[in-house]
Amino acid sequence: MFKFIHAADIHLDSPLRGLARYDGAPVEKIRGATRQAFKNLVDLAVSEEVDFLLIAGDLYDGDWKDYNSGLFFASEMTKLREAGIRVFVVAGNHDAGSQISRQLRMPDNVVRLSTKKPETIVLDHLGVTIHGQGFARAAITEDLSSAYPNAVAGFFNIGMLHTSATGREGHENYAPCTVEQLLSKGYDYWALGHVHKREVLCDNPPIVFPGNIQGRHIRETGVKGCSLVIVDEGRINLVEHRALDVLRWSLQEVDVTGVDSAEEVVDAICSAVKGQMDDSDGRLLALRLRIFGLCRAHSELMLHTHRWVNEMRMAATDISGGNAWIEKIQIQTQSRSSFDEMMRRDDAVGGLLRSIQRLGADDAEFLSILDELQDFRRKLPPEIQYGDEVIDLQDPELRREIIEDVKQLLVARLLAQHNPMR
Amino acid sequence: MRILEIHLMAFGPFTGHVLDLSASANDMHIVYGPNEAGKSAALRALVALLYGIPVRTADNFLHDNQNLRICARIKHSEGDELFFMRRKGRKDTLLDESAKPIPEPSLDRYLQGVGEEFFTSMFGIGHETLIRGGEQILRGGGAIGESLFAAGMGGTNVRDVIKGLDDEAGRLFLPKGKVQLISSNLSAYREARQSSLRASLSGREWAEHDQALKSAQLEKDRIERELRRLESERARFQRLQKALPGIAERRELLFKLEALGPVRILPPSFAKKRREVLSSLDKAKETEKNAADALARINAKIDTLVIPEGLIQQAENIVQLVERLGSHRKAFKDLPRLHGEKAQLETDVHSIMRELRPDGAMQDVESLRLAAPRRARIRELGSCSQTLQDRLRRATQEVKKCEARLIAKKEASAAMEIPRDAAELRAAVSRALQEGKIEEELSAALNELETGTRLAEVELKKLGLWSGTLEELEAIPLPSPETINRFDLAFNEMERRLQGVLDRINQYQTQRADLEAKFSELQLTGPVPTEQDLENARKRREKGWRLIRLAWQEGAQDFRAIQAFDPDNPLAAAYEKSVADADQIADRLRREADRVAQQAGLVSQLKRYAEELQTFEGEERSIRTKIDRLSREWLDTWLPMGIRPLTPNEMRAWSARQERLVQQSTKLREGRRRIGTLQNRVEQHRSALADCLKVLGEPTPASEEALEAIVSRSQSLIESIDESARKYKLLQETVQQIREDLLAARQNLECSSTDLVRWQEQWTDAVKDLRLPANALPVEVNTVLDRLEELFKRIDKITVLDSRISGILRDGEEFEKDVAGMTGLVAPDLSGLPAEQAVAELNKRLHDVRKDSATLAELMDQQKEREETIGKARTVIQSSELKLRELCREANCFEFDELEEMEERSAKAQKIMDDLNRIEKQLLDHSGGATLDALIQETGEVNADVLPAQIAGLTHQIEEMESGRAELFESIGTEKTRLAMMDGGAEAAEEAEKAQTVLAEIREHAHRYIRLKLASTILNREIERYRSENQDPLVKRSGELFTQLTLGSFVRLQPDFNETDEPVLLGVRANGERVGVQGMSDGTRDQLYLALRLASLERYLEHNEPMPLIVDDILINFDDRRAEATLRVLADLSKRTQVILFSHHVHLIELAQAAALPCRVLELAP
Repeated sequence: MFKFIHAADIHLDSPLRGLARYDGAPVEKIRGATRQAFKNLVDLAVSEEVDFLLIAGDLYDGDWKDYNSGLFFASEMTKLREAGIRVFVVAGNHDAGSQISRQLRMPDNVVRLSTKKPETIVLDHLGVTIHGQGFARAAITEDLSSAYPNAVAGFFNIGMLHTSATGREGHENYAPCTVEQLLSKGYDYWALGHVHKREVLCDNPPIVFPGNIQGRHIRETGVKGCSLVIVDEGRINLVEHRALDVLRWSLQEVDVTGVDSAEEVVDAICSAVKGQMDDSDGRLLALRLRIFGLCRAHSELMLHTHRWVNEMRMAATDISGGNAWIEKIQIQTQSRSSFDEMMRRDDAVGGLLRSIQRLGADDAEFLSILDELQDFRRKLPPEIQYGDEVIDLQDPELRREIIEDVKQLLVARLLAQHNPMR
Repeated sequence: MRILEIHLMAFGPFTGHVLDLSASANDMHIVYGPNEAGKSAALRALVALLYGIPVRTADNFLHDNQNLRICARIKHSEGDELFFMRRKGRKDTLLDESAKPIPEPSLDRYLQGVGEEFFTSMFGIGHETLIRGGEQILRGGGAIGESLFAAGMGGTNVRDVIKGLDDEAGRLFLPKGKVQLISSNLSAYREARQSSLRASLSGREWAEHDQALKSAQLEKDRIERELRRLESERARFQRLQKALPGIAERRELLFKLEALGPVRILPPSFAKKRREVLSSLDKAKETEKNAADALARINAKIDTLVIPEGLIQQAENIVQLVERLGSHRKAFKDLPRLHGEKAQLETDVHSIMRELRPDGAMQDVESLRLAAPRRARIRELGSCSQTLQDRLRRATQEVKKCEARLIAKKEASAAMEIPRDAAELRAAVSRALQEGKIEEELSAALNELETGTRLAEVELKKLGLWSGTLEELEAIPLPSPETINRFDLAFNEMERRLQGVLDRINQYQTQRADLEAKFSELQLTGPVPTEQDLENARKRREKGWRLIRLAWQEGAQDFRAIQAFDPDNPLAAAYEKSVADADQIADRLRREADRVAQQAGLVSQLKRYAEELQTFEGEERSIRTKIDRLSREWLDTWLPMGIRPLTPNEMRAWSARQERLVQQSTKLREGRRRIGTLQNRVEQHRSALADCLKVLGEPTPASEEALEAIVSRSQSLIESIDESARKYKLLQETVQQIREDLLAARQNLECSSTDLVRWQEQWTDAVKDLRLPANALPVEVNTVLDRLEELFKRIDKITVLDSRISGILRDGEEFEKDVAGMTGLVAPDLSGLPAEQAVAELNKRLHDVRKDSATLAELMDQQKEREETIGKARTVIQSSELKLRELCREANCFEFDELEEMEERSAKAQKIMDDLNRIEKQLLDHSGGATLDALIQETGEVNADVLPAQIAGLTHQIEEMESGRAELFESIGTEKTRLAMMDGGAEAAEEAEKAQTVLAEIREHAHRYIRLKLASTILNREIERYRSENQDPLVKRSGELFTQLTLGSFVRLQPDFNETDEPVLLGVRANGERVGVQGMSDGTRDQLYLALRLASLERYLEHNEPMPLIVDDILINFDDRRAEATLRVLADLSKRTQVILFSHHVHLIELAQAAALPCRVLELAP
């Protein structure tokens, strides 16, 4: 019998994104989350006494240049060497572009598979062969797996590959391949990497994306970790996912239909956060809350958005004992009055709504309004002007969102006046 | 939408209060309620009705939350009405009249998107609204856009909204600001980015330091190897230098040893051993001589001592005699005292004897002696006397007491009556109780029956289609549900088929119409030639040709035919024309082949459709016939019951209701049966209980007395009977007990008498021995017994004294005889002396002899001791001489005297050898592990004179290398420290993470800022747009209303521009004077605001579904005339939409009535 762990997409020291600070946010607790998660991986390997560890690409972020990350990685690998655990790594697209990867010397228990052609490693004492090829450059668009050798008879064959398989949303389409192609090699296990969401493409033999070991933004929600595999007499006994993440990302919908006051909305948030905490095994949480539903509280939320977002964050901090970071609170509640009906009316409100609606369709007018924001936009950091986290006002999706928000904002404020009938 | 009626069923202070607003032409209502009448609650109810009751409401003080209800009937402008109810809750709060939930969107048609906020602001005008509106106009300086837009929004303070947006945006970002959130975030972001860069480490830097460390370590290793070599060389030279003097000294010592010649080395203990042997030899010789002298002296003393043997042999007997002498002397001294005591006792005896028996002689004295048990028995009998008499007295008393108690209890018993038997009654009661609450059950069953019957009757009446009683209903033979279903299916099937056919007919008709249209369209550009046309033309041409040929070849002319062929033209021309026509048609057919084909197609399709239509119409008729037949069958099915059925679907429901009624009827019958049973059981128990009571002599129950009451009466009777039985039994038991006690007391009395008689007999017998009369008292007898005991004690003492005196005399004689025997044996010289002296002398002589024999024994011990001492000394002398001879052999000499010299030589040789050993050992220390010989050889190879110089040279070299090594150590340390600082630390990553959090904040704020800015910009634009679109009609209409409201104080409103070129509103007086809003009074400004609101409202009503206008006491600050004018304006408005005016003031109603305004007055009353 032997055991191994299959992990991928470590992205060591890649910062968590989208977590705006606020009073009570657990700033200290989340520090170095990817490092913590990586330590968890190493601890797991040691405590499970695995025979080897497979890392299917992307140790570091490609544009991250701090050599300290590499030194940290090497020191963790040394711990594995002391425990007699070998490590096999194929380079991923990020590693190919990383300066750290090029310069770092690894302890002798770490083997980096060739990037020039498929390489086969034979572990005679276990009866295992490991086939794999790393990325020589950042963008590999041909099918690497096609050149992999067929399975070696009498051995337990493992294929390591950094790939987007048949293409996955949000991931570059690198080293594409199909399940059929992989199956045709006759391997007993395919250790894939690159796709950050855990996915088992095939059960027998297992073809597994273990996902990354720590979610880094709200698009990477849920349990993150690695796969622990137990092989007995050449047959797989167990493929089990083990959680390693320190901070878990989660998206929670809160239905506040029929709620009268903003205070009650805060209460609803509290119970939602509590529910999430109960399900998180005591982990830190990064939560995005989407509040929706038809309710009277809507106008108060629209009127004093800043205040209520603060209240909700404070309440979440209290109820979670400082273990939840509220990443964002999307208030998408609605008032009883339907915008469609209002827009049809021939009056001031209807006119206003129609004008706003026209902005969505009329580029010229929208842009002329945007001109007034030029000064502002120029001052923003490049990440927001271009880059991954861009606020792109040309994006129709965002424009629709903004227009909807402006509608809600204006209608709520214009109508929320003193009510002579209450 | 207008409200026809509103029911305040349970809300605020109201319970079932109805406001009827269903007026005729003019729809203005004044709802009057004095203070506390619940005017505000009514206003709230109006909003709650349409938009729901808030979760936290103040209107639940009278009715609980779940009971709050408001109903209303409302009417859409298009005429349809809706009645609904509103309850409080989270969902399903809208109910229909049967209180079933209906979906909230049911109201949407009536509200047309008017939400709660919009409704209250646009269609609610209150006193405060008016005042705030006036102030707003003043603050806005009469800005038209703002005022109009605000009025169009229902009086929203647009200015504040814009300011709110701009303020919030300004807190986030100002182009030149530094302290705004985004600006400070930006600098924090830059800082974090820079910190991250500063903290990060490049791989090249690390590699450089790593390389430097490695080469320094290699160099250090090399230097250390060289140092080790040099140090070992220096150490060798130093070693040899130190060994040189030792080697010289060793050579010297070896010479001295050789000079000493052969020597036997003696052990170090040799001299000591020799001295010890000599000294012990001398000591032994001295001891021998002294012991011989002492022995001679002891022997002389022994010879002088003589011991007499006879005396020694009798020593034992002599000692006994001495001891007997003591007691002999004492006995003879006691004798006179013993004689005295005896005389005294004899006197006492005589005296007692005289006292007891004056007449008796001393000889009889022994006859008076009684044995001890006998005495004790007499004393015991005496003591019993008193006890026996006491017992007899007590027994007598007890008997008397019992007899008295028995008589008393017997009398009481006779006075009690014998209790009655309640067993029967108890059993009857227990049976009745087992039934439980049978009467309640009965009454409940009766109620249930009555309710059930009533309900069934109501249901029966509601059933319809059929009349008769419930029982008859059960009996009617209804068609089975399967039959109804069959009909339902058949009808549906027919309907479906019919609908299918109709659809097809419809479809074909439409298509035919289309084709016909196309056909006529085709014809529009001229008729289309057909093959038939061509045929016809050709036939005509042929006909013409036949006429021509007839005329031409046969000269015959058929004028009628020619006339018929062409009445207008001669035949030739007509024929030519017909040829031309035929050709033309042929040409057209070819030329217009497309249209021809199209037309042919159309014609053929039309024909096909006509056929299809005919088929389907036939089918339709056949289906309709079938439906009629089915309907007849359906009617026939129900005919026997006399029911005219509705559709099968409805009849299914009817049948279900009938089924429920039949079930209900069965249930009722069951109920009646059960009541009968219950009544029977009650009656049985009543009669059973009545019988028992009669037997017990109790009054029998009246017929109206309830079973429960009878049971309870019986229970208390049973209790009272039980109580008296218990008392009676207790008394009987007491009498029996006393009888037993009396019997026991009598037995006791008898025993006591018998005991006393027996005692008297025994007593008489006992005192007889004492020669006392039988009636002697126990006291007397006891005294006599005491004196007798004293008498016999003295007589016994006298007997003892006599025996002692005779003993003494006998012992004295024996002693003297024994003394005489002894003197005769051992000392005949003493035989003349009295016994006492002879014994003393014998004793003295025996003492002396014993002393002499002890001295002799001691001397003989000393003699033996000396002889042993002499023997030991001789043994020591022999062994010492042996040892000395052994020492001589060891030292290789013959005489004891030579021993000392041999010892000295041995010591000298030994010292030299010791020195040699020491030096050799020192030399080995310097040999560096080699042998001594190798060392001596090595020293021989070096030049002793140059050694110091060589050592100094090496030392210098070593010192230099060591300083080089220290430098290397330092640089290794530095590099190590540098590398240790590059420890894979996370600072850069943490700073990058911090930058990300700040970036996230910037994003969050930027999003908010963008929205706020856009909102503000859009709102400003929209206000301007609204103004430009609506200014003219609105300002005109507002002006008219303003004129009306101010009673002509102003004649119109006029747009103008202020000093900053913004459009503003001015009021114009009749004399042309123009007044800005600042120049108007507060009241006038309120009216201006009202005019703008009402004008906007009218404009709204032009295009949208009307909503009721709710006006709350706006006239408080208006004078009567302006108030009246306002009411008139509102009355005008009520022609277009419902106006509901709430007021506290009776005055207002009077005003309206005086002005004969068409309005209704409703009064609020909780």
